[in-house]
Amino acid sequence: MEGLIAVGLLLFLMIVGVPVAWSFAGVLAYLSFAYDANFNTLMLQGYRSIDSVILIALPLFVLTGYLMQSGGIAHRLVDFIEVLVGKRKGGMGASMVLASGIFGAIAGTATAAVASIGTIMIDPLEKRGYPRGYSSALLGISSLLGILIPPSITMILFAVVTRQSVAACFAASIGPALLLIAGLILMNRFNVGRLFEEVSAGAKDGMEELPGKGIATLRALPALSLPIVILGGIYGGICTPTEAAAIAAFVAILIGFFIYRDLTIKRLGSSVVAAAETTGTVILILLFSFMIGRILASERIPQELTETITSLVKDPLMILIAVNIFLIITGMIMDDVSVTVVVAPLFMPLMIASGVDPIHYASIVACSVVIGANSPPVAPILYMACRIGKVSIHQSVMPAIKLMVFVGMPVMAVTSFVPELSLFIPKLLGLM
Amino acid sequence: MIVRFFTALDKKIGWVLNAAALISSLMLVGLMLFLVLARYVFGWSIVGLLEVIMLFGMWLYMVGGLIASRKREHLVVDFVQTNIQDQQIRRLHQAFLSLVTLVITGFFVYLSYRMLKWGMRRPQHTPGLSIPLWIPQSAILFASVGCALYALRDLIQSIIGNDTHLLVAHEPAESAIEEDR
Amino acid sequence: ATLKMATDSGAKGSPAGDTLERWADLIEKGSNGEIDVKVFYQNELGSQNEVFDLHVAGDVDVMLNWPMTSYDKRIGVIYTPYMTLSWEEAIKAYSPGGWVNNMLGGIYADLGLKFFGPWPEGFNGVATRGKYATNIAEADGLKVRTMTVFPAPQTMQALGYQTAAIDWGEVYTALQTGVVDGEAGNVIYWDYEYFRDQLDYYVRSKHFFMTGVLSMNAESFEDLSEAHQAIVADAAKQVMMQQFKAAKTADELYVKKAEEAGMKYFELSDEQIKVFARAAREKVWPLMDEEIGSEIMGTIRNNATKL
Ligand code: NA
Ligand code: NA
Repeated sequence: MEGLIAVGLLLFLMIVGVPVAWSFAGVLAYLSFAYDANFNTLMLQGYRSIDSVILIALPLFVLTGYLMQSGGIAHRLVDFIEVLVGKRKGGMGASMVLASGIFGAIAGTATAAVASIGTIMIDPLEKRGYPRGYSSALLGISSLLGILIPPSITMILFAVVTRQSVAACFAASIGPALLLIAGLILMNRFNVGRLFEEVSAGAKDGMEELPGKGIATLRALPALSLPIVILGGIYGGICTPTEAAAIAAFVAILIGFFIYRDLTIKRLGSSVVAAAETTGTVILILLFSFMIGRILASERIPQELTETITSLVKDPLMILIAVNIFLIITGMIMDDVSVTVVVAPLFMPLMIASGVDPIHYASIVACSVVIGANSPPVAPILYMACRIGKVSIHQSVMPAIKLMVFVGMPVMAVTSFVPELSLFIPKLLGLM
Repeated sequence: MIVRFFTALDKKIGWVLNAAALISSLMLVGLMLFLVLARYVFGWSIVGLLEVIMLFGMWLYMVGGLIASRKREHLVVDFVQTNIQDQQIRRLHQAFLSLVTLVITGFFVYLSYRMLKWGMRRPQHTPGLSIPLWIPQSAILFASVGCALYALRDLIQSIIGNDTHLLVAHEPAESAIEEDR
Repeated sequence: ATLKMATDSGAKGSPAGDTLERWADLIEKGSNGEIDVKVFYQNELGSQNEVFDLHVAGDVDVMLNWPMTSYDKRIGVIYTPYMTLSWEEAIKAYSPGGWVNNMLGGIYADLGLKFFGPWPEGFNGVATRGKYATNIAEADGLKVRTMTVFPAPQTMQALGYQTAAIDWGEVYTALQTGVVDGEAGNVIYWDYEYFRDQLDYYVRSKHFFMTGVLSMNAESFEDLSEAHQAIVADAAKQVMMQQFKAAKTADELYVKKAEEAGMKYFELSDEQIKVFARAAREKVWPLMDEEIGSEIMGTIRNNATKL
């Protein structure tokens, strides 16, 4: 009952226009009184949740994104991408998906791709005819490739809690990631000319003339060195992903100041402040949703819901379908960390009993996070994409739901019912 | 007269907040780089550096959140707002939102206060450098109080019918970003 | 009455998780169902810090925790390097009436916690990939991740290693990519369980005797009737005594499992251990005098294994 009131309150506050962060805080207030939470430790738990070394990658990658924009890096990259794929139907949308995939191999979270890819590509996409709401929705779901493609903080958390091999969990979600990439590119191509008209490169008035292939590539080389610095840093054993985020910000400053010379002290200052503001809005939402998650977990709400499902459904296939649906629904109303750490592991014994391999289940959970993080009301990644894309949320919700229904859920279904998609790579690598 | 005073005050506060965001961001990047250099290039083991980094991180988070309150740039689902045509109703709606926000941020202030109060009874320190936990935690109290005050500002403005955001020296948030390229 | 029971390390089905289940069961059965125990495993209520916060505040009544020094530096005594060198000595010191047990009981009481007893895991070691070290010279250039708690990094540095602070969630990737060469300071169980595909060697350096602590929030304890207090305390004693017997066997089992998984395991000679012990005592103990007071360190100096 309290759960239903909480969901209702959240929807009400958000829909009338209370800022999302304060809507969450309002629900937190309701739940803390309903469940008689301890006010000595409630905010302390919130503080602990955001006081995380891994989370520090967030402001750093947000900053890198803004610096790539103000330092001229994004501009050169976009020119380069346009020259390469711009002529193809749906090319710009596809390159945002691919770029997110590449970023996913750099960072363990989705936020990195949202911040960096979003600041670089949403404007050019708009010039090419893509509505901002659509681009932001596409960005939101593409960025989740960051948790499907290793390294992935979600998979680490899941492996730690369920005592599975992290390497095997990492490898398991690569297959679904490739499927998601293909699905998104196809869906985007299908949408061109149906949802919106694509403007071909250089056709629209006021758009700059595109440079030749050679010149565009040459100009983009310093910009392209940035992912190489990040990837080389991580896979070369120089730094952790979080540290790589700081190196990326620093290198972006260097390139902006000394190579492209688009960056000035003043622009650096306003980029840093704008990045801090974006970070702050996201962190406050995270802070309150973490605290809500804590209250629910300590009341065993998710656990009890699970037990109810278990008692209702008996057939293995039906159980798999029920778990899928349950993960999607909890993903809608809880943050991804709570789903990964609290809800998903509860089904583990049930999954094993139904003949589902734990590693296979890990990749099902990863797929559910892709959907959950973009499904309102609790859709932090979609909201962040809207923030970066400077578009109001309601313009993004419909395109996001369509992408979820026509791409995200089918990918999750294939992942669920074709175990080999997940297990092929772990087996190939000798991890199971 | 009063308006001019508040406008000047707001500008000063804005300057201080921006400076705090700038300093904590640059410290974050700089110290993190130093951490990598120390470990990878020089082979030094520096105990507790991450604790300082996290300290600046927490202040960055909270100052960032406060800047967003000051500029009214918190993430909003705004389709009700954009669909109200009538000026009077729009003001009423704005007043209602500000009031709700004020009450909720008041709760935020209370929670932060209780955290610090409990922290005085059971003080904690970081393991490496013994940094007292109230230093990063007070960033949260600071932000909560600031956000509540800005909610109060918004409420007053919507009541006195000031739609032009007179009390905010309106600086384009992302001037550098939005410049036409 | 309803009691919330939690652990900061140990999922359902792990040795620590099994202990919680048994402890809860003993309490419920012992009280004929008058006490209802709600069990929360690793991460269910948050991170290690968070769960301990809840314990100190009384939201988690009963807990199996791995000592954290954020509230009181003196808890760090449990991480005094080379305090005891053999299982026999360690078990004696940590058993009720033993000198470490008495010392910890007093410190926990000052935090508002009732100390039931330790839950020993065994001696720790250093797990690495690529290369390994059995003496201080070999450790030169080996980068290992340690706990951040004082004096864990300082101890590893005294043994010749370079240390790095890496968040537990990033350890796996850091090992995989070579940001660090190893993970130092845990009993072999954790390295086997989480990182066995990344690690090649485990050297039992024995610098800490690792143990969890069974404790209860003092106010929660006072709220129980005397009969119920006795039931909870007796149940704690039972799982503790069981662990005293089981710990060594479990540790040996995981050594075997690690070897089967392809890890190379090194047990050091008394002489090798003594060289490590001398270095750590010389460099780290004076630091501990400053941090946790010479009074406690005096007790340790009087009781520690003679070299
Ligand atoms: Na990734
Ligand atoms: Na969601």
